[in-house]
Order: sequence, then structure tokens, then C-alpha cells
Amino acid sequence: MTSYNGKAINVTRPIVAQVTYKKINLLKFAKTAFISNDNWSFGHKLLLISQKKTQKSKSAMIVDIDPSFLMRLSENDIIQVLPNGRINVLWEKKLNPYDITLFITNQCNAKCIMCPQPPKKDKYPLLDTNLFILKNLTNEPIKKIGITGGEPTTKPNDLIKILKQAYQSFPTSKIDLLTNAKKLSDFSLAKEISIANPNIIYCVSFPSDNMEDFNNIMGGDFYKTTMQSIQNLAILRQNIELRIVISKKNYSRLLQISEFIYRNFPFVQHIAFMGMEVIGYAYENLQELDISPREYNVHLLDAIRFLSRCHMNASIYNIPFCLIDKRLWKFICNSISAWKQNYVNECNLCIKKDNCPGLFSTSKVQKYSLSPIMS
Amino acid sequence: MLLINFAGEHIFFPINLFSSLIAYKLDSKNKLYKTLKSKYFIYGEQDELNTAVSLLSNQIRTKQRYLQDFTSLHMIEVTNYCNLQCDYCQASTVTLEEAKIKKDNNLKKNILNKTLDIIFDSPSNSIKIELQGGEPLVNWNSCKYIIENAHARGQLLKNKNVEIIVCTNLLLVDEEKLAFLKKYNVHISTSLDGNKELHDKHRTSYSGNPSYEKFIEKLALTRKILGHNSVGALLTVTKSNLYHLKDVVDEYIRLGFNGLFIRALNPYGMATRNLEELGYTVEEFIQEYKKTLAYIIEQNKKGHLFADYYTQLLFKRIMSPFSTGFMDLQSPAGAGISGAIYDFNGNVYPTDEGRMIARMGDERFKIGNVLTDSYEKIFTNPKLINITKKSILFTTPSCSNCIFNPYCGSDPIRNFVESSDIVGHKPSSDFCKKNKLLFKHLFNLLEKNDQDTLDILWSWATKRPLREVRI
Repeated sequence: MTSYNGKAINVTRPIVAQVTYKKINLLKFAKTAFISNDNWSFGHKLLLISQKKTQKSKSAMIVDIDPSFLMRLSENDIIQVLPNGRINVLWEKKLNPYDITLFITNQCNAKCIMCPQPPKKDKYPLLDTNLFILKNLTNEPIKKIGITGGEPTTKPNDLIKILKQAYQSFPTSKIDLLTNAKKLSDFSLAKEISIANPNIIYCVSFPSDNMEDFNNIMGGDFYKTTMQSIQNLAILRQNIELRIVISKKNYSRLLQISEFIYRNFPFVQHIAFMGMEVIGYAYENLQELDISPREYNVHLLDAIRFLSRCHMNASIYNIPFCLIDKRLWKFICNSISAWKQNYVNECNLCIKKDNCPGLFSTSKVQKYSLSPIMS
Repeated sequence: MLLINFAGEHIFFPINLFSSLIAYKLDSKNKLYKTLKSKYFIYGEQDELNTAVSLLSNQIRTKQRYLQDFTSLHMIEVTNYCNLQCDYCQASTVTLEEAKIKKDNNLKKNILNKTLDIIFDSPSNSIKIELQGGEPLVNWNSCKYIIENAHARGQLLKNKNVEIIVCTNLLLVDEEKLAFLKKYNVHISTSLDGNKELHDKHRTSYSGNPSYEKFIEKLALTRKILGHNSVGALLTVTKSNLYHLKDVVDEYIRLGFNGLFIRALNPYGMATRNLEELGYTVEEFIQEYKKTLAYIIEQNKKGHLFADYYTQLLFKRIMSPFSTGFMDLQSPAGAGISGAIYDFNGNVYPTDEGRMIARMGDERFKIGNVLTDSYEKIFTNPKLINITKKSILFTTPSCSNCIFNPYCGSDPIRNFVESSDIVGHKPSSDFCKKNKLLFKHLFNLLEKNDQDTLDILWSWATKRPLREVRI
């Protein structure tokens, strides 16, 4: 998400508010953040001001904000401000008019070796923020809601409330629920979640076809429970996407993983092969994990060729065109979120740039030499 | 060497490592070690074993899905009379009994109505009715009656999807009949043995006149009215065309068919009497089959979408996790529980072959008559239960320890013809020999791992053009 550091005045705890350019807010219950050039306003929860100083006021405000940052914000954007002056844009209309991403928790019950976002304790409860977002964007044309974490199912009660609110606010929007699915081996919980919202696609981490690698990559006993969970979801007629993050730990078995999926879970809607975002644990464990797409191309080709033959849907996420065998180009998705999409100088010469996921700007390693596609 | 687990997953495994595998001494660093685990050939930990049991039982349940669709294919013998007299024919000529029924209009209608009653008592949601003979169009009035009434019953019952197929040599079709068939969306299954020379060798009238020219003319008319893809053709392989199967394939492609079924001669009816002129050994058949399959694959590489349907079936059995419908090769057998045949006189048999044996004077496979028996009585007949019970390969001598049993099936009545026993004597069975050789051949193709060939086989298995399968 986009963030900015300003100076907080009268902000004692995190405030979530919806951006507005309207001076007067007459709806007392609406929490709005007014973007102001002078200091006159009425009824807003928060003021966003570009000037350095301001006259004495009891209102909560962030001052000294770069006008170019303020320009990015549009009416109805949702922001969170912290006592230290940080502004996090939780929903940014200009960047993603049709998508919402909700972070349920920072906690996780796994310790995946390639995790880009290592788990930590939640400093503040996140439920109200998430409900605020869902309740205040009902006039927006939201098509997809990504629910992620941490591991969302570690907060099952929050998750169910959010899924229900999402259905109320956006009855036709698809929900991508990113999960390691361990908790869904409890059939009752899986059932409760599946009836909370009929539009869920469970995006389940699926790193391997054998127990040893599976548990090794996920950092715990996940193999047995994940297999059970996928069966539970199938019994509940849920939509499932399996996600394989490619690393040195599993790149040579991409075909066997695909065969395993087709044999045991032919009902899954989609299989995604994903490039790594090298940050967090992925960066710490880079030596064990690092493998260039150029090296695993041949295995990726075998895997996707197999899935394509048996009429399973497969995609490639997070890997740029120039690192992938031409025959696989049609499976590449422009999958990296806009706010962390990065291109290098060479990319400006490339004819594929517009459809290319590019690189993670967040990755601490950007070394794979890219070569622009000219024709 | 080839390893297959009991849900049908396979691995090509180096033979020199087999002894260490079964002695629990395979090096866990061996490249195949993890694959053996992921395909459940070996287990190390309790969690692996539990997961294997639960996933393997899912796989087996999925493969046995056809059992949930209890009796969906219903074949009605509209008449026993045919306007052709092919020397290999398994059906026979008209009897006094049929002539008598034909004269008694009430009795005839009563039999047809009761037959439809029984068919629509079947719990299956998809009802497939196949009109057979003899030549069903000889008895056009009965055909019309069945099609109209089956359609009407289907309309009344929202949960039944009715599909009707007429098995005909096409010679008697005309614009009026075809317009009627079009109205009810009827499909046609016909016979074609190759080009003019090969076709006319056996498919002749009583007076010996050839039928090819007329067949071609009627095929065009049928396709014009019913649509190109509403006609499928079956091939009967005799000594005459066995060594010219390439020509047969060319003819099928020339006439715009999407595939063919290389069907070996069955040991019934007139075929048993003319065996000397018509027959061949299993080895001869397989040898020609392999050549023909290679030729068909070449044609696909050249851009023709043309399948060998039996290879398509066996390939799906080996490679896909799904259940496949083919009543002659199921375990337990499809006889009676996937399909049943109703004779012109109302007798019911588990398979067409059971009816043919009755025609030869042995009624042992008759499971009831629509005039006297209820659906329940017919389909719980102890004879049928016995057939079903004794056709499960896991419990059949020789089959229970055959490597191909997850893909294969039993045809109890064929077994009876071969060995006077519905369980069958596999070491002397041509049916068994033929299927084993075909499985071996298919696994040879898989082991060769030629990408073009695999693309083609998958395009047949998933019924998609090659360009959609290939990346």
C-alpha cells in the first residue's frame, strides 16, 4: 500500500477515515478526513494539511504533507493515520478502483521459508478498520476483495464477520481468501466460513507433492492438514486455487506437483505458479531458495504443458516475460499489485511492458538480468 | 519397468532398483523416492499413510463414479429383420414369433409401452435409448412410436435427460423420416467398413447386391438434414479389411468422420459360422492395430482431428482421475447396471450378447420380460446380481494380480462364450490377451514420451482440437 510520513497533531491512537474534499460533514457518524488548505472545516474526524504549521486546534490532523502526495488522494479513498504521523492509504481509488485488499491479522500459524511478510503480533485490532472499509465503499464498483494477512483463519471470528459484511456490501464481488488452509481441516470451521459468503475463492499455498518438502517449506506439520482441508472445501463445493511459490526447494518437481493436483484434486479451478518476492524470510533464506526463472523454465514448461493438456487452468504470477519460455507467455498474468510493481531501464524498450508483471519493487534482490523483448 | 498402484497411477521405474525398493532399501536421495511417495507406492510416516488412504479412496471412488448412474443405456431391439445380409453379422433373421407379434398391433404397443415404463423407472438422470435391430428402420412405425413417447415422457420428467440413437445401415432413410428424427434430435450410429471394395465385400443384400453407393448417397442426405456431427460410424474388422486399415482410415477421414472404433469381430451369430473366411488371431489383430494407430497419429500431426476411440478410452483410463463410461470394459461389469437390452418380444438381457445367445437357443441370461416383471424384479434378478458380483477384477482369478486391473474390465457374457463360465478363464481368453497387448502398447507410447504423440492423445481424451491442447 502507499504510505507517507507527515507530522501528527492530536493523534493519540490510529484513526481510520475516508478522504473528502467537502468542507462540511453533517453526518456525525461518518468518519472523514478533510483535505484542507486553510483551517476552516466542520465535522471531520481528521484534517490533512500541507502547510507546516497551523493555528491551535483540538482537531486531529496531519500537517506538513507533500502536496504531491495529497494530489494522489481522491474522494472516498480510505486512509489510516498513526500517532507517529504515518499515513497508510488502505484503499486508493486512482490505483485500484475495482479492488479492495483487507489485512485480517499479521499473525500466522506457519513459518514459510519464503514468506515475504513474516508474521508479527497485531499492535492494534484490525477488525474495525476492515469493517469500516467494507461499509464505506458501497458506492464504488468493487469487483474483487482480497483477504490476506498473516493467516486470516487464525482470527476465525473476525474473518467470518468480515466475509458477512463483504457479502452485504458487495453481494457479487469475488473474494480471494489467501490461506494456508491448515485451520480448514476442521470441517465445522470450513463450513462456517463457506456459508458466510458464497463468492470465496480459497487461494491455498501448495508448495509440494510430498510430505517432506511440503512441511519443510511451510515450517511445520502442514501436509496432512492441508490435504484434509482441500477435501473439506471440495465437499463444501468451494472454489479453490492452489498457489505454488517456486524456489530452489521445489522447482525440479513442478511437473510432479501438477500431476499430484490433477490426480487428487482435479476439481480445483486454478493453479498459479508464482515467482518469489524476495523480502522477509525469503531474503533471510535466500541462499537456500534462490533460483533463476531461466533455470526452472524447463520444469515450468513441463508442468504447464501437462496441466494444459488435461484441461486444467494454470497461470504464472510475478515473473516477467523476458525470463520465461515464449511458449508460456500466454499463461503470464499481470499479477503484481500496482503499488509494488517495478520496471528497470531496459523495460522501457520492451514491447511487452504494458502486460508484464515486472518485478517486485519490494524485492531486496533485483539481480536477474532482464532483456527487453523487441519483437 | 512399470509400476501401477491400485488407483491406477503409474511410474516407469528402473528395473535394477526394484529389488532394493521391495527390500525397503531404496536410497531416499534417489530422484524417484519422492515421486514414489507422492504417488503412494511407499509410505514413511503415519501422516503419509493416513493421507494416502484418504486420497486413494477418493481416487477410487471417483473412478467408480459410473456406478452411481445406474443403467443409463437402454437398447431396444425394434425388429430382428434386416434388409442386408452381412456375412459377419451377429444378429439373425426374422422369426415366426416376431411375425406373429407384428400382426397383433395391441400386443406390439403393449410391449413397447411396458418397455418404456421399465426404462423410465431407471434411477439414472440421463436416459440413452438406442434403437437396434436387425435394421430398426424396417419397423419404422415402432421407431416412431418409441421416439415420440420417450420424448414425451422426458418432457414430463424434468430430471431426466433423454437422448435417442438409431443404429441403422441408413439404406431406408428418406427426407420424411429424417425430418422426423431431426425434430426429436435423434443421433445416428451407422456401419462403414472402408472404401467401396472393402465395404461391399461383406455388406450386401440377400441377393448379393453391394450397398456402398447407396450408403454414401444416404449418408450425405442424413448429414444434410440432421447435421454433420449427428452421424457416427462403426467399423467391423474382418480378415478382408484387417490388412487395409490404413485405407479404412483414409476413407473415414475422406468422409469427414472424427474418429473410428477399430472393433474386432465378436464370436457371435453368423460370425462363428463363417470364422474361416472372416477370422484372424489376436496377434494378427494387434499387429495391424498398432500400425493403424501410428498411421492415425500421423494423420493428426498433419492436421486432421481424428481419434481412435478405443485408444482414447484406454488412455483416459490410464491418465485421467475420472470415471469413463464403456459398458463392455467395467469392473464390476456394465452388463445390466450400465446398460440393458429389450428384445422385440419384451425379454430383457444385460447385454446385446446375452440376447444373441438366447437367439441361439440358450436363455440363461434373460433377466425378465417387460410384460410380466416389474423394474425391481428385472434389475434385482439373482442372475444379474451374480454377473455383477463375479465381474469385479479385484476378486477375479488372474485379474486380481494383473498389473492392468485398475484400467480394465470384465464382459461376463463374452467370458461365457469363450469359456462356458461368466468369470472366465483369462489365460486362454482372447479378450484378455487383446486388452493386455493394447495396454502394453499404450504404456510403450507413454514411456517414449514423444510430445507430439502425447498432445494428440490428450486432445482425444479431452475432446479438444490439438491447437488448444498444445502449448
